[in-house]
Amino acid sequence: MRAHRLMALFAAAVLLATRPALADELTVAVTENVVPFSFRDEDGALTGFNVEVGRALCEAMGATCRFEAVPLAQLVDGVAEGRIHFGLGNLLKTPEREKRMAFSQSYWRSTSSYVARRGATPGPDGLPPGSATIAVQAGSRQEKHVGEALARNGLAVLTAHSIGEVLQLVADGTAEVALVPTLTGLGFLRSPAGKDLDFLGEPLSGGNLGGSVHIVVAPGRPDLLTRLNGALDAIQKDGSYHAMTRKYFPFSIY
Amino acid sequence: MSTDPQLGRLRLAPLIAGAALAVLAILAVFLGSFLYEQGRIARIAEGARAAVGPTILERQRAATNIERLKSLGDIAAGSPDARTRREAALAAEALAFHPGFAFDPELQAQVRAARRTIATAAAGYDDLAAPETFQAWSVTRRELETLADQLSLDAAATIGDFFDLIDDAAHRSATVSTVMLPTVALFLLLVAWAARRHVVRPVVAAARAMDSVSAGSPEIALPPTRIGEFATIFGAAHRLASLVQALETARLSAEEARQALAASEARFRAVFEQAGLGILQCDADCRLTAVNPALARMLGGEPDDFVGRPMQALLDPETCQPADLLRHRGESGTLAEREVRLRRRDGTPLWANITLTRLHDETGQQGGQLLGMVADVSERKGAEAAMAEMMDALRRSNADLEQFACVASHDLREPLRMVTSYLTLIERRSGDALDTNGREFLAFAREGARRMDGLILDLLEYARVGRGDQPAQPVALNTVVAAVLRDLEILVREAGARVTIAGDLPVVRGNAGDLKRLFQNLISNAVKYRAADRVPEIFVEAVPEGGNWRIDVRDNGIGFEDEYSGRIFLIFQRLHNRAHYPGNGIGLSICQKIAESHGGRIWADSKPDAGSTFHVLLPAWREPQRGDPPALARPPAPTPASDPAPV
Repeated sequence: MRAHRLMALFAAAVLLATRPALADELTVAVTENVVPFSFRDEDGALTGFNVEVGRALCEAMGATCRFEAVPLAQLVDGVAEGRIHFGLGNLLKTPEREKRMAFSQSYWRSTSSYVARRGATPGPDGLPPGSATIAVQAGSRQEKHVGEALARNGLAVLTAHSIGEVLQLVADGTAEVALVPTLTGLGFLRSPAGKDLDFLGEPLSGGNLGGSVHIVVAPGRPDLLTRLNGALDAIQKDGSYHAMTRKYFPFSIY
Repeated sequence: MSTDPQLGRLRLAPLIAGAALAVLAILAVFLGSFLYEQGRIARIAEGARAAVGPTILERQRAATNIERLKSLGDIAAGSPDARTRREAALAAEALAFHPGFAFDPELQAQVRAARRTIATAAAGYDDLAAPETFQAWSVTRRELETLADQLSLDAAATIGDFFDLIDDAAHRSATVSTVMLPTVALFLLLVAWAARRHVVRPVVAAARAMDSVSAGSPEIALPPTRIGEFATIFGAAHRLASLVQALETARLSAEEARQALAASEARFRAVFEQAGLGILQCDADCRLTAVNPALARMLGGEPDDFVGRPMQALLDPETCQPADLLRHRGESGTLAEREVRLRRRDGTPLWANITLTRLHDETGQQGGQLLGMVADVSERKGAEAAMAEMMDALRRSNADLEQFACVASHDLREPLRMVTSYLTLIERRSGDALDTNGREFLAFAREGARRMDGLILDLLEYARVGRGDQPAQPVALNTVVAAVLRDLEILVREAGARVTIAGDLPVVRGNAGDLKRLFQNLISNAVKYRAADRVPEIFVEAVPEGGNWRIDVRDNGIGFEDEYSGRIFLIFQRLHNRAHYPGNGIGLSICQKIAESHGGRIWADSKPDAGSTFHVLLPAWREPQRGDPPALARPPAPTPASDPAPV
């Protein structure tokens, strides 16, 4: 009788230990209107590199995920507050952000580039001479860089919730230049909306404008972080990650 | 040996601690080396993961992106669609600045230079200089191919370096294992050898010694040891062996004592069961706890018939009360020795002598239990009664005989005196009228009357001596013999005899007058029967013989044949002619009667012409004891004189 009781306890422990840790529904956020990372197709369905990576990770973790497309600032706040389990917002790791949330291992690397109308030439500070406005995504690293490094009298900083909106400000002439992630800018420039725009100068990687991009995870969820890192290794090893990069980018972005 | 302080000056605990520290140090060195090598291998592996792997992957991705860059360049330089060329150029721009080339600044610079060629080619597609730009792209493209090949070679070289590191680590690990394992094994063997020699062997020896001791063998063999703890253990083992030996000796002694006690018990039981003497045992309340079969037979029953009964039930209260028996008499433990009258089961009396003794307890103190010896003295009591009656009859007979002797002698002497008187008167008045024969006959008659008077006097004396009417007293024979010699002084002097008293004569028990008469007769006989050819020598000496004294009176007289040694003590018996040796032949008879009346005897050794020795055995003086029979009641010892001898 005692042996049977012990075996029953052991079986219960095994079941508890092996059940899907993330069997509940996870809320996954991506930034909205960031071609080709997260955007809506002609049918309005949310798609893009980050969306597919997120779904692949959820599948690898065995979790049911609900995706939301939100502005970057809302994504950061939602993850920091725990309302969003993890977010794919192309976020660089900074000390300020690490205080509020956890970061997964890197899953691609980014630089930042100025985007201006075609024919514009960069001045000494990288901006077209005489530029009066610059557009950046609200809450982005580029916004902080502009505020820290390019603050000068007369330069107006326009912010938008999405990078698409930022670039659109340059395309419609509202802003003379935008500072955006290079790959995001590349996607916009290769689209019809960006036919009159071009990279201005060489891409930037200093000043936290380039580097490793991470998935941000709600604080207090080390289990989720561990599962996410394991899932990232898994999709890299099974080739699905490379297939997705090849699908959305002309080269390996890792 | 084991307690020798010189041998036991080492202590085991510090040795074990030192050995343990040495083992730990060796193991720590080995473990440290092993862990160092393992850490090194781990660091190499970690380096492979952290540096080599990413380096290879980085180069692979860079090579891949160079291939993409080539493709983008081909599109930018060769696509007829301007938009396509623009998109390719934009992609090449982004790719050229991708951080994936940052690991190699030269590579990064070459890639960024190639992106400018691509941009130029894309922008100048419609220009006249297109062929030059395309040619320039072709050159760049080959350079990119070279870069890609070089990246592949670098990756391969990195892999080779990695494997070299692995091989080196494996070699070092093998070297460490090759050196350290035998070293540790050798050290452990040394430790094991030392432990076996200095720890295991002494422990085994101690264990065997304990086995030997526990088996009862006092002989144990323990090796010398320099370890203090083992010296202590060995010393304890030796002491234990000695103790075991002492215990074994004590056990054997106890066993011997037990066997002796059992034998004693058996003997006592046999004595108790088979003794003819009655034995009883009673407790402090004088209640019988044991009665042997002899006593039971005396009392007419079985031992169980009396066990548990009070001892008082055995006594006839007319003769003895229990308190009389329990009266303490001395330190020996003997309470009383009483002749008491017991009552048999059938009520008939039984005279018995009871001796009670207080038994000693385990501490040697007198306890309350009593042990009694009971002797049936009924026959003796009967004999004593018969003897008393005989003694009374004898006394009456002696008195009658004495009276008869006195009367007879007096009455016999009266006619003799009358005969003598008238013979004297006849001789005085008619002597002249008688002829020679008549006077001679008359002389014979008067001599016969005189001899008869002498015989009557001697007979009267014989009847008087040894009557035992005087109580026994201590008689100093020195005094007696001295008085005798004074009385015989003239006789001795006239005979020229020499009387020698050898030493002091003893004090004997008897009557001084009778003893004086005895020695007077013996000494006067020695003078009387002297040899004519030599000076008479008379020796008187006393020789102790048992509880008596033997007085020897030796002379060098004429002696006599040994066959007459009994006859000479018969009354009126003579060995010689009266004419040569006057006398009536009653002296030695009186001596014999005196000796026997003293409880002694007299006898003689002699050879003709070699002298004679008369031996008189007399009882030594001792204080009269209760129950001593009267002297006359003592039966005379058989003597040769008692034997009838031919005359």
